[in-house]
This record gives sequence, structure tokens and C-alpha cells, in this order.
Amino acid sequence: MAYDFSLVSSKMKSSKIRELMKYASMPGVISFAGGMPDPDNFPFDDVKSIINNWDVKSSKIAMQYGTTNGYGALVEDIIKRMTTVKHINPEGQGVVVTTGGQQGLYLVAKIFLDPGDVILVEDPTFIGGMASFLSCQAQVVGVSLEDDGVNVDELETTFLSLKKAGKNVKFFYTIPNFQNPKGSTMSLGKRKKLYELSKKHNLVIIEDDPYGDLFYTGTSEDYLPVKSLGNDAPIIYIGSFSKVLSPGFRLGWIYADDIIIDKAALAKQSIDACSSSFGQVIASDYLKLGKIDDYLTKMRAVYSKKKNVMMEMITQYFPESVKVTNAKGGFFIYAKLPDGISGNALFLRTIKENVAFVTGEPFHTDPVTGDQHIRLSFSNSSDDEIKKGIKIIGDTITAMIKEM
Amino acid sequence: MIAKRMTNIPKSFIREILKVASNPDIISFAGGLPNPGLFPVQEIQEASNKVFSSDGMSALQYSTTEGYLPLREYISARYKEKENLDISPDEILITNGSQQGLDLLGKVLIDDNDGVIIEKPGYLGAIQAFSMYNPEFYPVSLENDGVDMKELTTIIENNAVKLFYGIPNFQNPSGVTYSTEKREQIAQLLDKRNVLFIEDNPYGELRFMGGTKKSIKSYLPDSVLLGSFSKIVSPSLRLGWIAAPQTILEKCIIAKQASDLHTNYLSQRILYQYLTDNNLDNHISKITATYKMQRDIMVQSINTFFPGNIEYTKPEGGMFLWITLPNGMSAMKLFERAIEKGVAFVPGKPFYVNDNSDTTLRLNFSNVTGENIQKGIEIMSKIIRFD
Repeated sequence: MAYDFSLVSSKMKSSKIRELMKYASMPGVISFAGGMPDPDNFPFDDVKSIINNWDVKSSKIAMQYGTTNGYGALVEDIIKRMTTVKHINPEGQGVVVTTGGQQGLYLVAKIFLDPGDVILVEDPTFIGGMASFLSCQAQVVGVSLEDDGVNVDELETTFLSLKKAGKNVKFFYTIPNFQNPKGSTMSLGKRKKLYELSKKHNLVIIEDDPYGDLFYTGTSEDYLPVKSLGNDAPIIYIGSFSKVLSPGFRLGWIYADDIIIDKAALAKQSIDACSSSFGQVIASDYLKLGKIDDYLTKMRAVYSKKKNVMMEMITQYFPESVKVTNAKGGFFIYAKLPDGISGNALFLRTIKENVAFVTGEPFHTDPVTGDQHIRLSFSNSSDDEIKKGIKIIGDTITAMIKEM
Repeated sequence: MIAKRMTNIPKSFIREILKVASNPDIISFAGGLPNPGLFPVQEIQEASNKVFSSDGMSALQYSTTEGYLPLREYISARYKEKENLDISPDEILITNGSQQGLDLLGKVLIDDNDGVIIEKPGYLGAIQAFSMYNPEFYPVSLENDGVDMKELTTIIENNAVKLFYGIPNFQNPSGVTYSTEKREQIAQLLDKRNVLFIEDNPYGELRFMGGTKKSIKSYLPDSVLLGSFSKIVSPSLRLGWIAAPQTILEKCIIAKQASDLHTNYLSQRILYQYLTDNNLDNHISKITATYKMQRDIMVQSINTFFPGNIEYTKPEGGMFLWITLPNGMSAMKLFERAIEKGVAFVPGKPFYVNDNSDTTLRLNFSNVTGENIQKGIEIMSKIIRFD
């Protein structure tokens, strides 16, 4: 039978990262490629005892269909954390629990994007975000990302000129904390400026914050969401349990104005009806144990140590002409290679020595600029792997410079 | 600001009804929930203990989009065992419930105004999911043994139709099962006209009487078959699947990456452990024995209390029974009165795409006790007879 696919699907491409991940997951390969949390520290003993301690009532809830907006107790827990830890004013705001943070992005795309609509992104940006937006046939326009966050002036100019050209600009997508892939963090000054810009032009901001709790310097107060600045700007916050609890549950959430939440819930009904109650009851019970803050403190120490090891090795083995971001949190270090060195070429050489990473190419709107970068994830590697792998990458870059 | 597709989705009237019906004082025939008393709670607890003891770290990590291979192998082997159907694990994608399968298929197949045939009445979740992609729906009437073949043929011959979505076993909402003859005829017709069949089969294993019928995919290998563990193990694990030719499946996999990356891996591991350690067929026979009892009580109560001019389907499996009221009687009005008297059901309206039919309604029997079924039907019959 000849299958007649939709226009969207004929444009779909399998992600380059996914192709590369095939190498990265081969046994014996030291991989800095995926953005995976460190499984050694998952709280699986707690999770196990939570499941075993369910009474009849809890187990019936945990095994039945749930409501589209999410398990009530978990929704309350999320609102509480958003209020007390993230300082977001809960007035008029609501929650939809999503199947991972990725679904939050997909839902936002579904409810806002018509074919041909324009969205603005940081350049470079998270490929999973781009994939969701492109799947709703949006046109993606990049705005320069600096070490202290997006260039807000450029954002405004770009927005205004697109509007002037008659384009429907639907939203700006940002990861203010420990951005993926760049590792950069938006300064407080820029957060305020962005908030004002959003308010002034009624420009919707999609604030994606999967790593916000994983900071390695300062305190939680230094990384408060842009949304915490007030409810007068249309800001949609997307959170995730994947990096702080475990990705295995596939749980995230959208926190936004009730009008948006109603639309998102309506879209979610047709997308997967509800997220797993099984996972949601576990997550809610885990939050009730009151261990989450201690757990986060522990994980910050674990990841911070890995990051320091990687930075030390980079200082030692990378040529000075490689520029790296020293992330204040999250999972990634982003490196700009010297002129003339291609990230893809570097990858093809290091993979022969069993070291993998992701080239910058898929994250940038311009693939040529992208190819001058590599993303190194330290979250899921042991100290020894980091030491060995970074030395191999550094030595290879040095050799490539000599060959030029 | 909001995308046009959002204005196409039918407002979820059912969601509002379910809110009312969740009041514990109400006898609710409204939902479509499995009976929670039959959930294998202890077995799932044991399975999760095993998973955590043997492989907790990887069970909580990110995983592949396709889904856990041993689970896909299990599904493949079960198709072979149950209906001698050859579907390789590479032709199976694990989804976040079969609802996600509908969204993914809509995305990879449907462009604006593409023709989509759907049963009349049709499954609301599918109507909602496909509406997002703005198709032209062609509803085809359901008879007691499946869709009206004459109508189906006319629609296909006169319109550019891309796909036909149907639930051949114990259809939601009607409870109707397609006869073997109709299955064969549909396969022939669609094959000849190059129309893709999407066969949704969430209830197929819940047969409590009559002989098993082969899936349409066994006559039409190029078609798509959706399955689910929601009704036979637990809906909260959110585990369903798409079985489709690889060309379609590859597209769905890419679409799923942009949608939610992969399905809950912990659920997949626990479910697989449960399936390995327990006999699923034994568990299913407990479910079907209970549902048969509940269905029999409902059919008997209707027979006893309802006036003779009311028609109803007598399902051989599944969870639903479909009522057709005599002309002139309104299901919406009946609903309003019934709610006042403490009984809820779903009026037929939302199950029709281009039709304002108000004489039908859906009754669920899986999640109501025998005693309440009798009580609820009696209350409804009083309203029907005297109001």
C-alpha cells in the first residue's frame, strides 16, 4: 500500500542527536552526549517503599485513570513549591501535569501555533523545543544568546520588525537557568528587562526551567524564574521532575494563567488523556516525605563536583583558543572551537577513541556557526571517565590545530 | 493568539458530566473506567519491588522512543499466540496510552480537509484527537453487526478518503461488534480503494460471550492496529501501542520525540515484570467474569423496567451498552432529570460529528455494582415512563 503522509510528517527528520546517540550508547564509549541525570543517586529506595506502603485507597488512585489536569495532591504540591520556593504569585494561576517537560512544550506549540506563525528562540536553543515548534509548522527565528542570557534589545528589535512585516509572532522561548546547550544563566537585570518587554508588547514568554534547582553557586534566590517578577506579563512556566527526581516517571508541569491552563488541558485530552497516575502518586508521596530539599542539596554537590572535575580537565588539556562557558548549574558545558575546527570532524575522530559528545550544529539556527561548537554533559559520567574523555578531546583538538 | 486548531476541538461535555458524576452519592453510568476492585495491586507491588531490586537505576532513567524491547516482544508474541498474527517487535511503538497513538497518527497522516471515515456514533477521544488536524469527517452508521456497508461504499466511492478509523470489538460508545463477514468486506473494499484502516482495539480481550473474531489487520496487513493495557491491567500505567507497517511507524517515532520523547519507562519495566510473573489470561478471565455479571444485571434491569419501545445493544464484551429512545424523547432532558434523582450517564450527542441526534445515550456497566445498576436503571425507567 502507498501511504499518503501529512505535509508535516514529510518534512520531519530524525534528530541528528538521536543518530549520534547510537554511538554514544555503545558499550565502552565515554559519553558526554546525553543530558541524562546521574542514576547512581536516584531515590529508588524511597520510591520502592512508597509503592509498598500504599493502602487500598492510594493504590486504587494510583492504578486508575486520572484527571487531565493531574492528580489533585500533586497539583497542590506543585503550586506550593512554585509559591514558596520560586516566589511566583499563585493568584489566577493553574497547573497541568504533563508527560515530561517535553509534553509541556508540545502542548504550548499545539495551543498557540498555526502554520507559518513565527516564534523567537535563543540561538542556540534546546532541540526538543525546536522539534515541538516545528512539528506545528512554525517558523523559528533566533536571537543572540550571550553569557548573561538573551540579548533583550535584539529580541525587541527582532520582534518589532517581524510584526511590522506582518508576521504573527506567537512567543519567545527561553531557558533562563543553565541553558541547554550553552550553560548560560540570564542575569537579574536581563530578567527584569525581559519581563517589562513581555508586559509592554504582550509577548508571551515560554520559560522552560528543567534545571533551575540544580545550581552550583549562590542560592535558590539567585535563580528565580522571570515569572516570579509578577503576573502582569504573559509568562508560561514549564517545570520538570526529570532532572530533580527521575526521568523514569515522565512528569513535568505547566504553570500559567488559568486561561492557558484550560486550553492546555483541552489539548492534552486529545494527546494522551492524562499522565500516569502511578507516577504522579509516587511523586506526590515523595514530596510529602519532606526529603526533596535534602535530596536537591545532595544532588547539587554531586553535580557540582563533576562539573569542577570537567572544568579542571578542560583547563589542563584544551588549547586556550577553545572558549568555554562555566555553567553555574545544570548539566552542560558549551565550548566554542578555534576557527577552522569543525565539531563534526572532531566527533568523528574522538568516537574512534570511544569518546562521544554532541556537536553544536542542531542547536543553532545557522548550522555553520553551530558546527564550531560542542556540548559536553558532565552529569552522567564518573570522575575517571571525565578525566580520560576530556584529555582525549583536548589532545584531538590540539592535533587538529597542528594539522591546519 | 490561540491556534485555529483549538477552535475545532469539540468542547468536552463529557468532562463536565464526569465532574458531576464523581460525586459519590451519584450512581454513575457515565464514565468509561475499569472496575478498580480488579486491579492487580499486590502483583504490581511485587513486580515493582523486583524491578527496583534488580535494576532500579536504569528503570528510572531516560529511555528510547520506541519503548522497552522485551515488552514489544511480549506484545508481538501475544498477537502470534492469540490470532496467529505476524507483527514483529519493530512494528510496535509503545505509547502513553492508546490516546497518544491517535494523536501521533493524526499528526503523520492528516492534512487540512483530508477525508476521515468514523463510526456514527464514534469514539470521542478519536474525534477530539483527529479534529486537531482539521479533517473532513465522514460518519458512517453503525448497525448491530458493524458499519452499514452500503453507506461505507458510497462514501468511499464518492469522496477522496484517506483513512477509516473504527473499533470493531465492543465499540465505544455503542458496544457493537463487527461480524466476520463485514470485517472481510471492509478489508477488501479498503484494499481496493487504497484507504488506510486504523483499527482501535482497547476492549478486544474483554469478551465474555460469543466467539472471538479476527482483527481486520489479519485480513489487511498494511493497516494500523492500536492496543492498550489500560482495560486489562491498569490505565494509570498509561501503556498502549501502535502496531503498524514500518514506514508509518518510523514517522510516528519521530513525531513522538517532539511530543514526549518516550513513554514512562518505569511503568514499562513494572508492567513487563508483572506480565512475566503472572498469567495475564487468568487475570483477564476474572475481569470478564465480573463484567459479564454486571452487563447481565444491566440487560435484565432494562428488560424488566424500561418500556418496550426502547432499543438497546446487547454487548458481547467491553464496558458499554447503547440505548436508543423512541422518537420525540430527548436524552439531554432525561439526563437533566436523572441527575436530579442521582443517576448519571452520557447523552449520545458528543459521539456524533455532524449530527444533532438527541435520542441516544451511553451506559457504562464496568464501574458500577450490581445493586446500583438495578437501582439506577429503575430510577431512569421511572423518569422515562412518567415524565
